[in-house]
Amino acid sequence: MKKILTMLAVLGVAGSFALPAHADPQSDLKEFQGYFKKKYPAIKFDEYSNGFYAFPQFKEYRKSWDSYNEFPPYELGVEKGKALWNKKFANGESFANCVKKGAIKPAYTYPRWDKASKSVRTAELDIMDCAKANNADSKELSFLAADLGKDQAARVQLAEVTAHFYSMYKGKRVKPDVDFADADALAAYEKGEKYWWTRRGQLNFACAHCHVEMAGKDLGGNQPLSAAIGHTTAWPAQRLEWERLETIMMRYATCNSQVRAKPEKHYGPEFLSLQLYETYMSSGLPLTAPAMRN
Amino acid sequence: MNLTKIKTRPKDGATEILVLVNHPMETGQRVDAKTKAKIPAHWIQKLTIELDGKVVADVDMGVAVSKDPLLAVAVKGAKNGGKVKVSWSDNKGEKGGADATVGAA
Amino acid sequence: MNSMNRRTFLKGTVAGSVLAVAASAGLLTPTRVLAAAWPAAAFDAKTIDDSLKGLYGTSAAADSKAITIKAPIQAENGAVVPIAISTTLPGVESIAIFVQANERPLIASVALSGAEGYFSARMKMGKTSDVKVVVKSGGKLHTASQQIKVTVGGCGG
Repeated sequence: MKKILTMLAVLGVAGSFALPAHADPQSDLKEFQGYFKKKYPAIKFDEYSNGFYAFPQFKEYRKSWDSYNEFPPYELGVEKGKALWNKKFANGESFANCVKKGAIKPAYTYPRWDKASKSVRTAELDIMDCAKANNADSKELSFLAADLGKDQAARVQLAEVTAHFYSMYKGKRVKPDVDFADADALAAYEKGEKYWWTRRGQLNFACAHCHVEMAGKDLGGNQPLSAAIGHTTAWPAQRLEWERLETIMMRYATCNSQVRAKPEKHYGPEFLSLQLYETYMSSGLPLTAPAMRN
Repeated sequence: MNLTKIKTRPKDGATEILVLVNHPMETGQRVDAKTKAKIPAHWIQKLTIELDGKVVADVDMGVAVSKDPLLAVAVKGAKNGGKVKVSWSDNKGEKGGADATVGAA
Repeated sequence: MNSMNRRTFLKGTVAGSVLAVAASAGLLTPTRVLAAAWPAAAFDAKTIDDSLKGLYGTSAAADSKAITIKAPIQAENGAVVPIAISTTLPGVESIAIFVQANERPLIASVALSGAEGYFSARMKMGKTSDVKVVVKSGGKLHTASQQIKVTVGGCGG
């Protein structure tokens, strides 16, 4: 608690701030989740998986959200993703077989640290690798050959397949598979932590400003702000204004645009380590993906 | 391919029939970011809901119904196993629909 | 052709052209022609009164406390505003939804047969507006309305 308040105070005054020399993820996690638990004792921990709908001050918005959830539009996207997931590749293999063989891990273990490649792996990356390893047709799975930052149709197709994958693990508690004893894994975590607490863009906000300091506020009357914990549990998600399922990479890119910063690359090292840090801070929360979001 | 999904559930002593259709519902006012041209209006005009061979609801829609339209009506006395049939047509003459059974998961 | 069909035909509106294409392609069966055509004039109308005349031949509607509108006071996003209408009025024949501030107020209308006085949908709203619901029951029109605030309009890209 003290460390987070110190970090916020330093953010308020200075530009960025200097992280301590050695990151300690387990104690960071306790502090991070402890900050919200102490600030909002009435909110049940699991509710944070619902984003800003967890806050009682947004109960009017929650009523609309409850009605969307009676028959959420993302069910159409998940149906499309399911059809692609179930279709065998030309060589007879399938995404389901990749899960069986462990090439695609359980959804609640992502992002994971891959020792062999010394990289952060998310569900989309392992899903794409499974298809590529089996020579899947990129005319059918257009996300295999597309620039995902630019090609919306290809990216949405990937989001739909990934959403179907996550839907099979709804309710399972987030537990990213990372061995922090591995120095490279710890470095990736630190990279994500640094990103989180660094100011960016013309608006000069850090993620911490909106999602720690101002969490629960309604910016300008029409931008309710969610708490940091529970962010990743909903993704791939369908935002009301997008009216389609999207990847978390798209959300990171548009968050950057919202503070008028130039977004980093989808699936680049910055966004991957950011997703690792954010997801680790949501450890123990139930997966709700895919979900409706503002 | 325009998916049409149907759900049924008990509601206040009746059965609610919910329909969700994958359709762009373009108003004709949106401008394509690349071509700078207006995207032509493309919307579902009529949608009918039948229960056990009888039309229970005949919906007329305009472009201001949201993308991927959700519509729901309710019928009393619908029995488990009852046959629901949804059919729709849009301004381009495209059609779609689906069948469902009352009380199916 | 009655006067409304002729006006539609002469205006060359979309509904008319769709019927023309369908007819020439031999797609219209006798039952399809007899089924109620999509009410183009009512959807084209720029005022609620004109739209009601297009649907029912009259815009006279009595305020009714027997109609319940379940819709947000503040819409989260104008692109997808949920609305559910229920009524205890007997023998409901149809329910229509209008958004006053939309350029063309009629959103949707449903003809009910052996169904409850209930209708739920999701609609686009450009800005804060009164939403008016009209229920036809016992041969008469009954109405209720509610304001929905919109801060992010739903009709744009």
